[in-house]
Amino acid sequence: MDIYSQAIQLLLDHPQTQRWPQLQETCTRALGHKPIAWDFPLRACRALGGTQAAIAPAIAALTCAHMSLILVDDLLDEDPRGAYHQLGVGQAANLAQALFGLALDVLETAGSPSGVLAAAAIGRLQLHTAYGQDLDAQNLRSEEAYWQVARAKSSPYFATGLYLGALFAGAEAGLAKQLHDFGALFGEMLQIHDDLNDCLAVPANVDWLQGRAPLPILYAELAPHAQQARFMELRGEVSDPAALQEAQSILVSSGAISYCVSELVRRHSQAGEQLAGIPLRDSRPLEELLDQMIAPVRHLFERVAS
Amino acid sequence: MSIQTFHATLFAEGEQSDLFGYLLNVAQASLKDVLAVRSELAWDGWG
Repeated sequence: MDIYSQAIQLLLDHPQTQRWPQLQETCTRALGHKPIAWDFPLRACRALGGTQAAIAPAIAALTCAHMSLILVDDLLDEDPRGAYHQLGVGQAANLAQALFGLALDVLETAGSPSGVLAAAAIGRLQLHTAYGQDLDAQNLRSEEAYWQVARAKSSPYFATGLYLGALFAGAEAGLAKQLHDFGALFGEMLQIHDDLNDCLAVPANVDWLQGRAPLPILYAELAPHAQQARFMELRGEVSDPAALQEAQSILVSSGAISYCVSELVRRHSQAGEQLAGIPLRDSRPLEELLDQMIAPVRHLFERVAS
Repeated sequence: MSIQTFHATLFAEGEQSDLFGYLLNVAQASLKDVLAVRSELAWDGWG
């Protein structure tokens, strides 16, 4: 059985899961749907030279956390794909609570000397992400607020993935914190990628339709470019494909896309420096993450080279 | 770098660093060229 299946089996074998069909069904579904960054604990473990079999509880807890966060995110975003359409709002919220509780219990009962630290990290993940979601829902339109939301909403999940893996690989808390901070920076990079992807989607993504301000749109609203007034007009008309295309073209020509790319490049370089300062047995599992983040930037630069 | 500073630097006349040269190429590209790499710009499954 591979490490991911072992992790999900831990969830399925939990006494509470066995007596609750809805929780059982949710965990069973996870077998076929690996969450984003499910392998972060594994990468941390490999980088530190730990024993792979020991980190199944970390992967199980991270998977629970992801399922819980998505249940709540879909509720807040009123996402048409959200499970709350089948479950009902109350049941979805209750299941999200249960999944975080399951994550905590799996970590605490794993018998690891770091179980308490790991459970505390899951608690902080829940707390910080909920704060980030609340900030995001306020739709604050400033650069400062944007980065505050990204750090609160996106960084904790990726940071916790590496932190849990490091703890279960036997790292002391200080070393695990270094991996945590690297993961937090990775989370900011991922948020920039996500914003770029959403703003360039056709037809218009929910970020356009709900009047939100992902980074490219925030730039186009705040930077003093010649097409700013036109952009603000188009902003409310993007259900029309021609208006969306014109608005997206302004994102390119105003420098909004370039700005996002430059923020990615800056964080990539910062993360590389962080990584070089962490005493790892093998840095490649984490370097690969950075390579994946920067590869599209390289391809874009090559494509538009004059 | 703030949005205002970035915008001023990107479109400033004169010598640019290599990075800003690449970034200016992006700003002068067509939407089609930028969309061509869009599918690489995100990992699936983040909210």
